[in-house]
Amino acid sequence: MIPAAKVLPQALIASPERRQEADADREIVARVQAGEVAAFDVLVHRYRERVYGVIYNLIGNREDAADLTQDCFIKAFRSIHRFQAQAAFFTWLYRIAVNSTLSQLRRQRLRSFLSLDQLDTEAPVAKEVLDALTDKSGADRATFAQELQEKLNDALQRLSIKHRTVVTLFEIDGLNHQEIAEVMECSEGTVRSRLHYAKQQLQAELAPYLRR
Amino acid sequence: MKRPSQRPVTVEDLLRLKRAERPPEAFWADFDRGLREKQLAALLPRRPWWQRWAERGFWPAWGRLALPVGAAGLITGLFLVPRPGGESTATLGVVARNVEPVPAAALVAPGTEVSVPDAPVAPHEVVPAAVASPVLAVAAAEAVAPADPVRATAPARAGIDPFPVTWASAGGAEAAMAVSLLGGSRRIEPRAATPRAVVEPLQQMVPPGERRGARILTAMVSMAAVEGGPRATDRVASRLSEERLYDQIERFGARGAGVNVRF
Repeated sequence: MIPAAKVLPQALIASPERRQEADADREIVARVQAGEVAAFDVLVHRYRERVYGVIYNLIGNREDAADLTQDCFIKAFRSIHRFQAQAAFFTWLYRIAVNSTLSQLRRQRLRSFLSLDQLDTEAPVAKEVLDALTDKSGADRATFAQELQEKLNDALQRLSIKHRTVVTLFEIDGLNHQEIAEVMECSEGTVRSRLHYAKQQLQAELAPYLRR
Repeated sequence: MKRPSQRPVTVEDLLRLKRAERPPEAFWADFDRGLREKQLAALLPRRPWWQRWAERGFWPAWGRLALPVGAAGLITGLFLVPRPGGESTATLGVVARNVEPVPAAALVAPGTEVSVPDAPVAPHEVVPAAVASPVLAVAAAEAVAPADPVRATAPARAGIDPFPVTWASAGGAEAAMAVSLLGGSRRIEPRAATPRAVVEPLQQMVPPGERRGARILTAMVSMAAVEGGPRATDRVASRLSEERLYDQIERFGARGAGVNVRF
């Protein structure tokens, strides 16, 4: 098996964790391609939350996101024999997820209702932001968190599909510009430009919750 | 009550809140179950179309249509499937070639008076010149076959007026042509059209003026029939006398191609 470091661009495997992950993925993919169907479950368990997160943040509806995540894994399973080592498995999987979601969003352009997952107010990321924004506690804090969550999701849904995708992949999922460019099949400059514009729009929408 | 911290809050901070939106653990159990089902469905070979139709409830609807559609199919099949022992064009051709030319004089009915020369009539004299192909020759031979007494007398009249004979043979030829066209290539059961009665074409023609006048009269009669009810009531209402009524009717008439109205 060719190690990922020899195949993938250096920027994509910059971190040692990402490199290890890519190597492990390639090994599992090779097993699935050899006919070991059960090995695909390992990939599903490794990526299901991340793929669901991307789709959920793009579509803003948990039921649709669950269906699309399942479909994404089925598509990956069906076409895994076509997967080659030019890209990391997760980039390939993300591309399937994003393309499926974009197709779904184009089909149901008029339908826009949110069905959100519970915001874990005790998670370190949320706790820090909520502490900075409010002095309330208990039920009032939960109400404020819910209101902020709705406003945030609403603002995200107001972005165009492409801008929303860039923001989701960069700010929420933590991909870098090059990875996003690869997933979205566009240039890095386009990614940066879209990201800048999307943040400007979000700043205008969420101004009451920002503090300088 | 604690005070909010004074650290700045940016868009990036707010977006990071989205990382804290997570589905409950039970969600993943359902997710895995659903994914397993879809995965198994993807592994199974695609079923044939009739099984998928059965799943969608097509066959109960088909059951209502089965009888009429089946009957229609059977009838169509009866028309299209050739009979094993049926006559084809080739057979007819053989039969036709075996028909010997019959002198016209021999076909004359015993009591008929005909002033025909004694010389036998050759087939080419009976069959029109245009009918040169074997098929049409067959038709001509059929036309003079003694099975039909009307046709049998036709050659007898040929000596006097050859035109009817020509038309009769052409009528038979038309039927034979249809047989050859339909039955020759696809072996469809030949159904020769029944030959039409021989009528002089000029006798069939009706002068246009007479035809138009007849049409107008028909229209007037039908209008009178339609207006019969109301007119009777009108009569009762206005108490018209019989003479006056007929006088009014007689004011309208048709002659030739026109309509007259007398005032």
